[in-house]
Amino acid sequence: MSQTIEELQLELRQELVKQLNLEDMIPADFNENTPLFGEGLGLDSIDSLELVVLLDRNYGIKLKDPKEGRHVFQSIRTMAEYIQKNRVQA
Amino acid sequence: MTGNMQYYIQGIGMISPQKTFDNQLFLDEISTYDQNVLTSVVPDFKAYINPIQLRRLSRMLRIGLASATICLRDAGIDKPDGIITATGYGFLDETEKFLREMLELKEKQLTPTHFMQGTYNALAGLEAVTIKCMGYNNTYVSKGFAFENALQDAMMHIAENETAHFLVGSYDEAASVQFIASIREHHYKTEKISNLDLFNTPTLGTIQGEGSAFFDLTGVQTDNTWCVLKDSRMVYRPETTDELAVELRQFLKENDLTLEDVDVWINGITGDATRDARLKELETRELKALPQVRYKHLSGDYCTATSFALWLGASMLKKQHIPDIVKVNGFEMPKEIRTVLSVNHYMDRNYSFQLLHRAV
Repeated sequence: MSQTIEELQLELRQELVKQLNLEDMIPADFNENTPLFGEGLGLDSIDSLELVVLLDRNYGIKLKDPKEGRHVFQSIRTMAEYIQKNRVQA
Repeated sequence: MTGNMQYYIQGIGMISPQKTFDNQLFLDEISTYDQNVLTSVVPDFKAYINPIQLRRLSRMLRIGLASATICLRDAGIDKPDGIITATGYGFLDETEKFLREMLELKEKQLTPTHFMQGTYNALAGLEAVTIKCMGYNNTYVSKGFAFENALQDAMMHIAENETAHFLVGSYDEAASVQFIASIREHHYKTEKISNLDLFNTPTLGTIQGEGSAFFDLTGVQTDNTWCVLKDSRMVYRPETTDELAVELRQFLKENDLTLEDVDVWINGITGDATRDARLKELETRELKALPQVRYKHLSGDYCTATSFALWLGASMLKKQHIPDIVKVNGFEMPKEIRTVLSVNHYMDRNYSFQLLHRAV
């Protein structure tokens, strides 16, 4: 059974909190449209590297073009849409 | 280092297995441990580190950064002229995580954080970035002499420019990977003891400690000065106790002092029946008449434990008080504590002396 976009978005929110060690934050504290960088979650360049590794490790997606990353990592929604389109099925 | 130059300790930040992060306290509450591993009593990091920066930092980086911040606040300095750190083993926990990840993931898909935080100079670099200090930045990793080398480096810089401020710090963590390796070379005791019984055990080995201490060192005295760091000397692998005794007498003589001028000496023995032999002999032959304090039952042993002795000596001089928990044989308090001598050893290889004076 394939994962719905809502399920994927929830999974990503949980992963972000865990992998990026977002202390004092739970997945319900932000939604799929919260900007990941800047005013939103305030992630930085090291976090973007962690997100690149997360895409590769969890979904088999290698992000090679940095320009593409700027769009993909805008929010949980953009990440989920990109993953659905590009994920390598086991 | 000798000469007329005076080095003043302007500020201190110390995080250790005791509650030492609060400079208003002086070993008022004592933490006890019964597993031969002493880990730090930490403050609320949010009081010292930006929350956004805090979330990614490892435990030891938090401890290091917080102790540096405590020191600078204590000294009333925003930005020193240079940062010098010292560590024997570096960030072993992070290094282990990175290496484990490398093995498990077959050198692919490695995250950058463990690597960045596993490097020896991560703390010096992080502190520099945090306070935007673009000056001299160096890290010494010379095991049991790392902190002594960092001190000497700062003293040489200040000798060239006495108004300069150098943030000199140490860090070493009680990492499990190091505990296992050190048990093999009998650095730590195999039988479990209470830390407060350390000096009553007749066996080989000591207990594992950790800590991070930062000192603001400068060449100009102010009302805020803790004490004068008069001199520091390293003695590597003395062949006999005689050789160590000659070095000690020479060290004092070069500073126009004799043993009679020392009010209190800080003994860095570790509770190791074999490796303490030389220092115990020195104690019996040369230093017996002097009031003595010990500290490794409170801090544990680690490569840069001399920094704990420096904190202890500076605190005794500034507060003119000696807590009972460090006194040996409950001696009477001297009327005034003017001169403190620290004698430390690490693994019976690295011996060092530090001489501290009361700032008047």
